[in-house]
Amino acid sequence: MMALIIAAREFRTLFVSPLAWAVLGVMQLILGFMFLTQLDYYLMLQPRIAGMEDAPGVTDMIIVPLFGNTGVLMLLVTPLLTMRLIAEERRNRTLSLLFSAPVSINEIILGKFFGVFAFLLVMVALIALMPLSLLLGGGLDFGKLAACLLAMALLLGSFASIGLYISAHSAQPTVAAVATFGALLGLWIIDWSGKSDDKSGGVLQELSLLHHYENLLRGLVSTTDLAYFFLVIFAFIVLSVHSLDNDRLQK
Amino acid sequence: MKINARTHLEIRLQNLAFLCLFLTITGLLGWLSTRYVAEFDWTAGNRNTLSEASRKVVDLLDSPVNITVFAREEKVLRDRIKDQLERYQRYNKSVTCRFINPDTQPTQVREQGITVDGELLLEYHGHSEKVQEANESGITNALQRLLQGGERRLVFLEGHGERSPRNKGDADMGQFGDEMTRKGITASTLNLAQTPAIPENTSALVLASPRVRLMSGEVRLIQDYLNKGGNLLWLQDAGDAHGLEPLLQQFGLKLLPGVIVDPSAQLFGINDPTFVMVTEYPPHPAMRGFSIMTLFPMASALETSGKTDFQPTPILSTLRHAWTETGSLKETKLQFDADKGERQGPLVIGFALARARPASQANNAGSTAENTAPPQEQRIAVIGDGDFLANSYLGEGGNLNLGVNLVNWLTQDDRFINIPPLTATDRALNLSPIASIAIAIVFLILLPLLFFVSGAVIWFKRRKR
Repeated sequence: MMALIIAAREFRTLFVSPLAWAVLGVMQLILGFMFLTQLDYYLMLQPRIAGMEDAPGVTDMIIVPLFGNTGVLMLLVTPLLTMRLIAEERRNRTLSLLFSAPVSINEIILGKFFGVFAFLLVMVALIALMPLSLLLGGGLDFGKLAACLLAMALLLGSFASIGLYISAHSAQPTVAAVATFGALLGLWIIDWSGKSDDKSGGVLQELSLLHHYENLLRGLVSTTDLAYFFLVIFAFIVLSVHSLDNDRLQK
Repeated sequence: MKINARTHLEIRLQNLAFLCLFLTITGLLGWLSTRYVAEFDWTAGNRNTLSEASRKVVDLLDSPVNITVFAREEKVLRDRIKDQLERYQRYNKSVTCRFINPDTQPTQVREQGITVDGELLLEYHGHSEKVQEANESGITNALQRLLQGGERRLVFLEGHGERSPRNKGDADMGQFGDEMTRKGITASTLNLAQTPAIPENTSALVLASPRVRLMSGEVRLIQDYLNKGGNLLWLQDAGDAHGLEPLLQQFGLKLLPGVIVDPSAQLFGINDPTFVMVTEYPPHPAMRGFSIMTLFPMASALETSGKTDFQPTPILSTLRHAWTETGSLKETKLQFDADKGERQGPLVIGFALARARPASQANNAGSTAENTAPPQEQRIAVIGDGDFLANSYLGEGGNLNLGVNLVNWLTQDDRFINIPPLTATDRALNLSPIASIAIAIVFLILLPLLFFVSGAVIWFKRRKR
């Protein structure tokens, strides 16, 4: 229960800071532009692919690229949102206050995580508005859209949980932001070196966020991809709890 | 709790143990998740899943199918092929695939006769099939052909100056014979003067442009073979039928005198007017899925005449500008001359003939080869040209594919599995001008502005406090 209260407080804190609004505004501007260019491109291409037998549809041509781009953008943005979670408490010396409060560390971490995750879900909802606006002029492949939204939510959950873990380790929010960005980008591109057809690439590929994200974007929901994201989220939450707990004992 | 140096060490060790254990367990779970997989296709029309027809074919596979993809290192091309193949791999784990860059393996490319970037080579039980366009219809039908594999034997008649399936001479058919071997088809030769019988298990007899008159005894043996329901591929060059006239009569066909000349071929940079192009094919089982241009040097025209119990279908026809030239080809200016009995195009170069298989042979065929599914009808192809399969012209246009198609039609059950491509359901998008302007305004101006203004207002309020 305490976790929910902390989450709610965290969520509100985000919205009273201009940072969150700026992030929302900038993201909307960029994604809106990307969406419109993609839409324009499709409208231009439409008469040409009308005769093709296995032509892609609106969802394949507009929405999947939009979600692909959003993934990259969020790679840059999420560290800004997660950097202050624990690091700022530590810098402002309020962490000891939090420790002494009648809340378990589990609850603190879960609260912090869900606070940021709720904000990220608001962003997912905003992004979802764009595909839905296309219903004004045609149909959508709702199954695929659902898979895309699920993929985005899971990806942002993983981003948040990794950001939280790094924030729990650092005393400076900016350091946390840079480190998180590095870690996320590393996990994103880890399979670039491995060729898709040889065996050694297999393990790196399984570790790559991008690989699993793109699999889900195809509309093919596999338990492997779901398990990967859940394991990443869960593992980094547990590790955050563990490192904070350790912090409390050792100092 | 009192904490001293000793407890610090203990806590540290404890941490290390926890970390090791936790990461191991997480890794293990991750590994398990790649071993036991359930997949759900959420797309409309299940576009990521193999169609029912393909699944039926894949179910029949009893040993691994190795697919080699010859594609350059281009992400777009490779991803498209991989996407297709993964649908098979997800359904049946025994389908394996590997990518080869044709630029780095020129020998293999030459040996396998790969011609197109992105060509697939499917291998199953030592037989192989090639697919040039990696779509579901092509791959599934190739698998189907591999499944029917079995023993297929082509018997080439020899002893009359025929083109040989082994020799590498310009006029011989060595390359075509190699291609047959790669497909698991045995190509053997038969000299009726030495062995006066056509083997029982012959899938199709090939008469590859005899240049010497056949003896009447030999013709009778061939006729016996045909009467028992044997299949025949007959390549007849321009000129004399060399004693095979009784066969023409039986098929209800007539060889027109002269060589076909086609001046329109010159438009395509071919200087020799005796090269005839065929660009369109009728919807016949032997020509299914075939649309590449083919080239026939020194071809002769055929036409139907008289009664026959076969059903002849013209499968190869020239363009309208072609005619049969009976005069000398050496003349500088070739002209159509109706007085000399020359015939104006379109002329038929190839006929496919079919009739219901005589009852005695139908049973026999079933018992000799259990694996093969021989056609339920007797099939004969008569082509007024032999050069198109000769070594020097096999590479022109779609000549090789045409030969393969003909052999497949003659020797195999040709149930073609028609798989309509999966189409996205959401292709129509008709935004009215107002709607598109509204979308642009809302997402590009209104929403960002709303966020920026709220942020500014909040920042301003907090500063005042």
